[in-house]
Amino acid sequence: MEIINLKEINKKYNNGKPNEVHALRGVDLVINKGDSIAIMGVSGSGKSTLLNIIGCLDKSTSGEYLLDGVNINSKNATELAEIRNNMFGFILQSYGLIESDKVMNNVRIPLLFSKKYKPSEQKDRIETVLNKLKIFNLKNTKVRDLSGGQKQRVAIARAMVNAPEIILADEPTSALDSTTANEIISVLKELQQKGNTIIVVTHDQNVANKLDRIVHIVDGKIVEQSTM
Amino acid sequence: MNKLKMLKINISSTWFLSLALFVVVACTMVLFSISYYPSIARIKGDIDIYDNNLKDYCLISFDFSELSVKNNYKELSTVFDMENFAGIASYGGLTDYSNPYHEKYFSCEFVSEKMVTNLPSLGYDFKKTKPKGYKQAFAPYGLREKYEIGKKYPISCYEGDEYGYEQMIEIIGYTDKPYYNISNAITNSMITEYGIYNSFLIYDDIPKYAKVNGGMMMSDKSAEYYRELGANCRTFKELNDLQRTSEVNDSFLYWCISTIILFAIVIAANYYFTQDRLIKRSGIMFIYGGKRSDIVLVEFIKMLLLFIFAFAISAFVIAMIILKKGEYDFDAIVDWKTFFKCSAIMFAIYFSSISFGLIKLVKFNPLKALSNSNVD
Repeated sequence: MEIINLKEINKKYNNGKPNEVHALRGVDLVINKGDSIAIMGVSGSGKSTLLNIIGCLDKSTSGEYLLDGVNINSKNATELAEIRNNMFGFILQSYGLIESDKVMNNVRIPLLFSKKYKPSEQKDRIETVLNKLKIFNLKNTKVRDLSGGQKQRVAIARAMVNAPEIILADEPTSALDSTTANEIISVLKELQQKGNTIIVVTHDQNVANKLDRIVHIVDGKIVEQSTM
Repeated sequence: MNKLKMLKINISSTWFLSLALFVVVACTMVLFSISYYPSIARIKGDIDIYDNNLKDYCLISFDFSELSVKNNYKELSTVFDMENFAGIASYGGLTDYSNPYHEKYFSCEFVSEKMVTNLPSLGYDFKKTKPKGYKQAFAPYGLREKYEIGKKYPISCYEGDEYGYEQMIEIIGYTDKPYYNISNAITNSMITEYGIYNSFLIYDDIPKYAKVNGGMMMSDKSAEYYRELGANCRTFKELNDLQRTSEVNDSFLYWCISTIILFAIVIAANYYFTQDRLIKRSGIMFIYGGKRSDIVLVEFIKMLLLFIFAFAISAFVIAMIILKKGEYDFDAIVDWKTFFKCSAIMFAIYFSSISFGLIKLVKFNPLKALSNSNVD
């Protein structure tokens, strides 16, 4: 059952200006619920732009984006904010954590906007997720005191805490050594087994090989899709 | 509810800067009001001794460097109509050796006849007709135990052997209250002051070589006339008008204004650079469901709240100061009108200085912010 359906997606930056950049050119992509996808490409190929459009962080210039059957292009800023909160969990390249704050408070951020969990349920939910990721003992530790692997687990915990359907990860292992990177990929695979859809942007072929499908993107076009 | 949570997380993540801004804004609002009030806001009354009968007389200052003659009484008399001079001239003094470890020097100040006969006495009641054989003097307050009121003493004021002043004086009081000091009238609006505490005030003919700095020329000649002769001069009315609207010594106000400008620059710089961190935090909020407009609104509300709290605390301090005035009845150092005016100025400075940072936040690109590293 498809959860993401991109049809003829184009994205231009500085549209109509002399410095116009055509980042995505007629991208068609279908992703089913429970899939794990790697998006690969060189720097500037448009893979992060694609991830941003999928994650409703940015809008396409033209084309149609159906998310769980709903046309995203017609949504306003408030609706898109709700969709981001409900549907997606983001894992960022360099963790994107507030270093000076505690693990608990970092993980809580998606719940600030959530309608899934009442305030009285939120603490339990955070602790459950931290337990799953084996970082419960770090809940009162400041992020700046954590190792790279621990920070990425915190980032994953934050992505999971609001029980999103789709996890979007932008280069989740680029700052990690190979052992830690493998652990993180294992965590993402576990999430997939529990029904989440996983979309990972990566340069790393080893990471991509562990996912179900690899999408190659060159100059804003999908040139190859391979199933592992 | 979301906005409240966002505000809470915003404040908790920027509490140090918020606290610093709060303290500085509150302190500046109080200090600015206090410095502004006596300098400009308060419309002063007339100079104490101002009188319509005196308004056209000229206050004169003999600046030696500008004059072709020395500023002693004899030489000035060759240029100016010193018979109309109402003022004080210095000539020599006494050294008190009674305490061998702490010698003190007391100058002799001669009060001109015009001053004694035409200006209010300010409590220094010389006999208008000079007694024969002795002179009347007010002794230095510091020597009140050595010189008794009503007794006569020989004193010698020397400025060199040739022109030394020796005279029997009758002590008729002590220099324990303000008296005229018109010498600085051109640049200083304080026409009476306590600057002559430790002098003998003598009513006598001014010695030829006594030094004369300035005073009032009680004649019908114009200020222009005296200026042409080389003296600094303005009419008493001009000085009085100047005094009504401003304090000549505005250096404290200038200092405060400089501080406020500096403070505005510091706020702008700090706030602008802090936006980098805030924008990254805002980027995180954005991807997890925060609305861009809410993020900006919450930041604006925070800055507004910060000002309101600073205003409240400074208003409290001003209220305390004003209430103390009622309790002790000293001169007011601030009033509500000045405080509100200064607060409005501070509000404008505050928001114009942080507007750089706010504009940066309004234009923030969440995607770019997130492509950067972690947030401090």
